[in-house]
Amino acid sequence: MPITSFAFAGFTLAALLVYHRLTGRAKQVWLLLVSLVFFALWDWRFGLVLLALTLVNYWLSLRIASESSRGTLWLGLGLNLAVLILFRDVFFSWSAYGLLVPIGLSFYFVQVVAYFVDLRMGRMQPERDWLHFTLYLFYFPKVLSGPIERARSFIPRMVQPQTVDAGRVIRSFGLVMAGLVRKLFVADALMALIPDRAFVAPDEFAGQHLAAWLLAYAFALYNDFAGYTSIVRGVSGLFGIELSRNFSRPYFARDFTDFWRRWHISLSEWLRDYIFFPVTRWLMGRFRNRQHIFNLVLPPIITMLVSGLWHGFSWHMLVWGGLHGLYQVVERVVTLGRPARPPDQVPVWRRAAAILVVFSLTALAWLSFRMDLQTAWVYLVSMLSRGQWEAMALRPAAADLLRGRGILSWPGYGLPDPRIFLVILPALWLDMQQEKNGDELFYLQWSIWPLAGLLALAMLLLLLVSGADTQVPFVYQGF
Amino acid sequence: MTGDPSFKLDRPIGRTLLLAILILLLAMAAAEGLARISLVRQRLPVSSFGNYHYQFEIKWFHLQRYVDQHGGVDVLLMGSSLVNSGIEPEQVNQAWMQASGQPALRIFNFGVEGLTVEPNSVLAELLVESFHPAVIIFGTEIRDYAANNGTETAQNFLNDPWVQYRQGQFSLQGWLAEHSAAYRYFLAYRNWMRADFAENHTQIIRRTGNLTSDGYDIENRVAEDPYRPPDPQDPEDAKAFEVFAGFEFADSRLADLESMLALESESGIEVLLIEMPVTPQFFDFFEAREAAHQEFLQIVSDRADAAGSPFLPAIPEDELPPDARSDRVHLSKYGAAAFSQYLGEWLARLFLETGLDLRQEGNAP
Repeated sequence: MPITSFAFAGFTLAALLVYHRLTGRAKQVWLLLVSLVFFALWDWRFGLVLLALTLVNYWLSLRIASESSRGTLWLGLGLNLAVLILFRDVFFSWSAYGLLVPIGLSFYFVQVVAYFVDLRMGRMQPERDWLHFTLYLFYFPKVLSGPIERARSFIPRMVQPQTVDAGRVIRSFGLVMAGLVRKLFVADALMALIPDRAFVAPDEFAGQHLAAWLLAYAFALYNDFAGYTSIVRGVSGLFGIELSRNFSRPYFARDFTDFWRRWHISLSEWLRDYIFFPVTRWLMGRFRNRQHIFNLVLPPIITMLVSGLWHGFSWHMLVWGGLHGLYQVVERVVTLGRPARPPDQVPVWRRAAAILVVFSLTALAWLSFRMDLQTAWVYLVSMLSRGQWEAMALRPAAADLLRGRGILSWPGYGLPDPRIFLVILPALWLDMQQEKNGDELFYLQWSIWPLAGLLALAMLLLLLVSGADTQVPFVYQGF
Repeated sequence: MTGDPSFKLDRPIGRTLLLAILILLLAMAAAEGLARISLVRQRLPVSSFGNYHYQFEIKWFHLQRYVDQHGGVDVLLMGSSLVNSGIEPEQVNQAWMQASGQPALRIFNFGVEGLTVEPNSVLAELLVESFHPAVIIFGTEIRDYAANNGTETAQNFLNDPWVQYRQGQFSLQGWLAEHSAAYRYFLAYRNWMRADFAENHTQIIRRTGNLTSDGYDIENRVAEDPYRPPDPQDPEDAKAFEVFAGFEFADSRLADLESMLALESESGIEVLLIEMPVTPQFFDFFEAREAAHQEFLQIVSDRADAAGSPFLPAIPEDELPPDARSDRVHLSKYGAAAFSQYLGEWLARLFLETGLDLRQEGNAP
């Protein structure tokens, strides 16, 4: 049941109607029931596997909290890692969508790891209520692709939900609508605009098209995941349970540290707390100088390699993570001799240039995120080779366009697909307004007429994509 | 829900949403008004019912223009691609006028690629309802009756919301496609965000332009050797061998033929059957070879006799010119001219011998 479907809307509405009539523990029992049904609708067999693993994890968590040795912790981490690799990277690849669909397993894994480590470090007491523990891991708005929540902050929010008043309903609706536009209008359209063969045989295409499709992919990926998060946060808000933000205009980042503060925030924070900080602490214990080469290089590299592996046990994901690690290392080395100035002291053109550089390097790294290394290399070479760029007949194209002819003839003029830029516009506008206002729901401050106009426009955009013959699943659903 | 402490609406909500819906409805009404202006219709030549089969839609809207221009249609030629490029209405008319001494008929070719007798039996009903022709001539051949031939195309066509709406199954999509001009334009551009949209859209415009005003799709290609026997080693031929291995006349397809013939009694129109000419070598794909062909002729003529419908077997191969074929089953423009002549003369004979009325009411000479 895709979360952009009417079936999901009906499912959520039915769940809400019952949920708000219940009180106390019955609410959580109902939410767990709803969550298990939701999971079962994706793949009930894998749901059973995950439910069994959850039982084991519950028992292990109680042992970890009460034992003085680390044996159970390692056992728990090893068991969950084995399940992740087996179901996501071995069975799923073998069966090619056949046997079991490991929905949300990567997200489940990092939440369990955080929980076990937090218990071991004494940051929290174990959750003794099996219902709360299971619901934390299975809560249906976040079970597919996060956000990755920490048990110590999420379980209290879940057990004592906030009152859903008019303001919360409006905020939730605003999040859902923004998410739908990002996913269905921007991300799905951009994905559909990229020909299938572009990521299979890139050398068949001219450089300008490859560049435009890479731009399309970068925005599609962002809006796909940001759209998903926005929708599930809106849905969860209707239950009075806040979910964490995952994105904060990542393509406006001025450096790579900034980028990872804005991109997939819940994963970035997890990586920071459970990989980066421990590695840094460990290295500082051995090489006390902060500027020691190992202290500069290893923490970001190891952290981003782990990030790559979390996305998939493959060489191309490892390279994607490694590239981001490398970007951060270069940044750290550069800022050693010249500490970064506060943003408001940096000229606008330099800020814009920094944003452009970060975006371009991020987009290049997406190549190895999206395709195997060999194809990614061919794509890069084809895109950057001068000889691969075809001449663009701009003047005849403009003349034909002004005469009202040839609007569909851009391939004949060697021009990149103009629809890509048109589709990106609404997402870019949304991001710019959010950045300017410092509020993701800035439009809720508008008066009724402009707000109604914006809402009507959003509905119109959704209608424009509603008749298309294809719908693309969420990219991060695969992780 | 309002009585529960976890859900408390402390102020009314929904005004903005209602206003937005109102704005949207007004915008849609304006779009509908625009879509009905002739200037817009000229600027946007392609509209759609959202049907998977774009050639069917090309023909439908082409027929609408034909009827607008000529005040109606007397004879509709139906069938698959064999009819689409195999019968030239203008040539049929020439032969008809010459042989019968009567004025021209309004003949339109509604042959659609890939449509077997199964979807054509439904399509015939829709065409009769919408355009009220006096005669339907259904061009058929043996492949129409193979249960595993053309099934996917048929299902895609028949499961279309507009087709189902026209058959009495209500759906909002079907209703909109039938009644809203703006929605039909929207459907024509519904795949605007697909990578292949420009290519497909241009192809639709090109194919529409290639049709003659009476629906004939000219086939300029001429096959080098259409009479070569099928080769099981050739991948294309191997596929055909597979489809027709163990061929039997499917009861459901024969029922579809009967349902088409029944239009004669149900709707008061004449239904004529003609066999579309394929090469003798085509029957080599069937285990029974020429016997399969003979069985086909027997079965179809029996059904036609039972319904009181005239049946015309295919033109003898030796009456076709040497460059008559574009492949084993399709006619080139030269073959189409010869076959159309043959058909026009047959229609004249029917008129002269039986007094068969081929004209739509109100189009008497």
